[in-house]
This record gives sequence, C-alpha cells and structure tokens, in this order.
Amino acid sequence: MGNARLSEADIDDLYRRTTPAAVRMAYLITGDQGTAEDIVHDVFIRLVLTSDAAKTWDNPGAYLNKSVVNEITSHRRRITARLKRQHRATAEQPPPVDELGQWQERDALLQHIDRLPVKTRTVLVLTYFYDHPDQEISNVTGWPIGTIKSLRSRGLKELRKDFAHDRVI
Amino acid sequence: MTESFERSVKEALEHRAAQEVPLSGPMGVGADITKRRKRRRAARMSAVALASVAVLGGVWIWSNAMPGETRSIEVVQTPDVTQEAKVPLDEASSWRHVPALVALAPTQQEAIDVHYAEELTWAHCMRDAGLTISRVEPSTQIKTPGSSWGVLYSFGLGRAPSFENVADLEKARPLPVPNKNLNGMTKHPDAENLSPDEDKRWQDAEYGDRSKRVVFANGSSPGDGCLAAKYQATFADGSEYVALQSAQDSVFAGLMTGLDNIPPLPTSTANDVVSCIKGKGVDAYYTSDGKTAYPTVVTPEWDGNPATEAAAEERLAEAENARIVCEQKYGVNKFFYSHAAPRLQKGFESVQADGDKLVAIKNARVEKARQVIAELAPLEPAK
Repeated sequence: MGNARLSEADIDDLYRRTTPAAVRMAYLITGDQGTAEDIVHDVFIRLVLTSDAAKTWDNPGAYLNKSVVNEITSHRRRITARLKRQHRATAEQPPPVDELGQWQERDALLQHIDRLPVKTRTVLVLTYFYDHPDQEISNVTGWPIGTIKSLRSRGLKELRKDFAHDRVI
Repeated sequence: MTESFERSVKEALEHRAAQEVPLSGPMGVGADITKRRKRRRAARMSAVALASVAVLGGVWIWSNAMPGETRSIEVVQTPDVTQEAKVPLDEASSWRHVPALVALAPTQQEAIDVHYAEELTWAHCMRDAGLTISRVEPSTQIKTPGSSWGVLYSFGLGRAPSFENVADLEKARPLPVPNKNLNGMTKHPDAENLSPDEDKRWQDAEYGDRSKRVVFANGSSPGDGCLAAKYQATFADGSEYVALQSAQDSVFAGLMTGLDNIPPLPTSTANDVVSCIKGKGVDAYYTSDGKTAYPTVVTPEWDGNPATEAAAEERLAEAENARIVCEQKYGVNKFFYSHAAPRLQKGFESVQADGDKLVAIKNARVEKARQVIAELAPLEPAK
C-alpha cells in the first residue's frame, strides 16, 4: 500500500486481513484471548493513526506482528500483572481431565509455559508453534540471535524441571 | 527426551491455538472498539459491585466479561481478602460461556471457593457452598416468595447492581448460610465413613434447613443473557432446584450444553421435564461438546449430599451398560443435569451422538445403549 493516508475501507480491509493472525500470536504468548485482542487492537489503532507508520503497510501483517510482540514484551509488567491473576488461579486448579486422560499433561505444560517470563514465552511460541528460524524470530522481536537461543534454552530447561517435578508428584 | 519434550511444547501450543475462539460478531476496528468499551464498562461496573459488596461484607462471584466473552470469574471476599476463582474457561469451547453468578453470603468467612473446572459445574459449586438452587431469574434482581432465605443477585453481564438492588439484598438478610469455609469444608471430616443418613444429619445440623435457598444466576449469552430457560426440581427434602440457562451458555448447574437457541421455558415445564426424566429412573446423563464428556449423576434422592452422590456413583460404577442422555425437547438437544464428576468417566469408553441423543457407553456396548434409549418414552411437553 504505502499510502500515507488510508481510507476507512482500506483500514477495515487491513484490519480484517491482519489482525486475526496477530491475535492468535498474542493469544499464544499471553495465554489470554481478551488480552490478546486488546493488545492487537491497541497496536493496530496506533499504527493506523500514526501517519509515518503508513509506510510499513507494504507488509502489514509482519509489521503488526512485530509491533504486537514489542507491545507485549515492552509492557510486560502491566500485561503480566493482568495475566497473573488468571494464571495464579488456574495454577491451583487441578488440570482438566478428558475421557482419555490426555489433557492433563498438556494443560499442565501450558500452565508452566504461562508462568515463564513473557520474553521466553515469545521465543517458545515463535520457535515451536510458528517454526520460525532464529533469524526470523530476531526480525520479529528485534532481539539478537544469541539472546533468542539463550531464552529458548532457559525456557526449556525451566519447563523440563517444573514438568518433571509435577510428574514426580 | 529433548526432542520429545520440545514436541510436547509444540503440541501444547497447538492445542492452545485450537482453543482460540474466532472473533465473533461484526468484525472491524469499530466493532472491536465497541467490544472494548463494553469490557471497560463491565470492569467499572464490577468495581461498583465490589464497593457494594464491601458495604455488605458479602461474597460475590461474578463474571467480568461481556456477553459471549466470558473469560474469568472472580471471587471476592471482602473486606480484606480478594481471591480469584480458578477458571480455565478456555479449555473447551463449551466452557467459554459461563453464567455470571453472584452469591451473597452474610459472613466474612463464607468464602465461596469456586472450583471451577471442567469437572465441576455450578451445581457442584453451589452444592459445595451449601446452597440449593431454588430460583433463578434472567434479570437483575430476584425475590423469592416464601423463601426462607434468600439472596441473590446476579447481574447480566454489562450490568451492575444498583444500590437499590443492594438495599434489597440487605433486606433479605440475615441468611442462614452455612458458616463454613467452602473449600473442602462442607463435608464432614470423616464424611467417607458416614452413612448417608449420618451425613445428612450432620449437614442439616451444620447448615440448617437447606430448603428453598436461593441462588441467582445469569448467563453470558449474547443479548445480555436475557434469553433464558428455567428449570426447577423439588427434591425429596423439600428443597427446590431451579436453574437458569441462557442461550448459548453451555453450562449452568450442569444443565445443558451446546445450545443454539433456548426458548424461555415456564418453570412448570422445566419441573415436568426434570420429574419426567427422574421418573424414568435415569441416573446418569452425559453430554458432550464434541470434545469432552461430562458425566453426571442424578438420582431421585439426589440432594446434594456427598454420601448420596457417592452411592449413586457406586451404582454407576457397577453399571455395565450405557446410561443415558438427552432428549430433544424444546430445542434442547443436549440436556444434562447435576454436576460433572470426571472420576465417573472411568470405564466409559465413548460418548456418542445418536440422533438427537447422546449416549455414554460403558464397555462400548453401543447396541445395548441404543436399546436403552429406544425404550425411553419421549418427554411430554408440559400442559
């Protein structure tokens, strides 16, 4: 697009095209759909209202994703505080059981993931859900590759430790 | 281990992604702004509610989400304890629409601990809270004629109780609410070794007359939960049980799930429905949202008594064949009742749809299950 000014119809079209994927990514990182929707909405509105951001619309989805990650990680305290309330609650909850008993471990693992620092979570999501290579993750997050590797390694280590502990129990 | 574990992480994230609920309704910047405004308004109103409760020193439970957007339930015990309920609402789609519930208790120690998970429904919560649901209304206020104690109040999502409502609640006090912490404390310490009669006597002594207690719930369905069905049952001990189900709320009191449109039902109709089902000797209902079964137990003598429940569970565990399910009625095609107890799932290999019925099958005896269902007479509409 590249227009400095977007028409209302363009904005609406852009919103429909770009936000679902961004919401999904934010949801995977935050673990809360409402938070994810709010973050993406915030970011989208900000980008649309910022005239010099219009140049980024050549690849709007990627730019929106990048901005969303930045929003989540740069405001992590506020977001984390909001999420903690829910995560703390679910953490004390016995994991749901389905008829095959398969959800227990998966949900326990998700709970552990939710407790990781948001940056670590972001790296895990981009690595394991999106299968992004480190360079791509670096592009999205703006973090050095070394940092990404370190976060992933620490995150997995932490998860293994917690998860193994739970299984012993 | 490493690859396996990383694969587990990936699968867990994929599972979470599958739980994502597509944005509903009109989508667009403007529409989402509207949704956010509603959320904020709800949050502000929740704050008002909290202030109101603080005045009364009660306990409130409410959903802080907007219609169709329920995502958490908070339990607040005033004045100095705030705790959040455990509400993994995103675990299954059917649990995303959770009724808002506001329960007011007269004592500070009356912490209503909502163990809200797939295995626990509102009925279970209320039973644990020593509450017998006696009336539910799809509005902002409830008064129960003849109720010996009452309360209740719930607000449609997006609404908050006005101070007038609170004053009404104040009038309803004092309420003989069980003076117990409800986090596992509603049972006799040695409940497992008590006979049903002993257990009932103990509970009666602890909680007094539990008849006609009131819990008011409202749903989070689109349209502010106004479209609701009411179901009522009267148990052997005289207690009444009425639950409300809002359209598209998948569970309230474990009543229904997966509904698209539920017409309002007169209480008498619902009563007949329940009576009819109970009269069939059906002692278990299962339902499914396509992912999860919610086994339940209903017995004619079911009264919220854990010992009674245990006895029912024992019978169910001994059952060889399928138990029931649901009947198409008034557009209600997945109807179940009572609380879910995951342990009852043991031994049941599948839950299958059979026309408008759902069949829980033990030992995969499908044909027998169908036979059982075929022998059930259709429920007659209330006159």
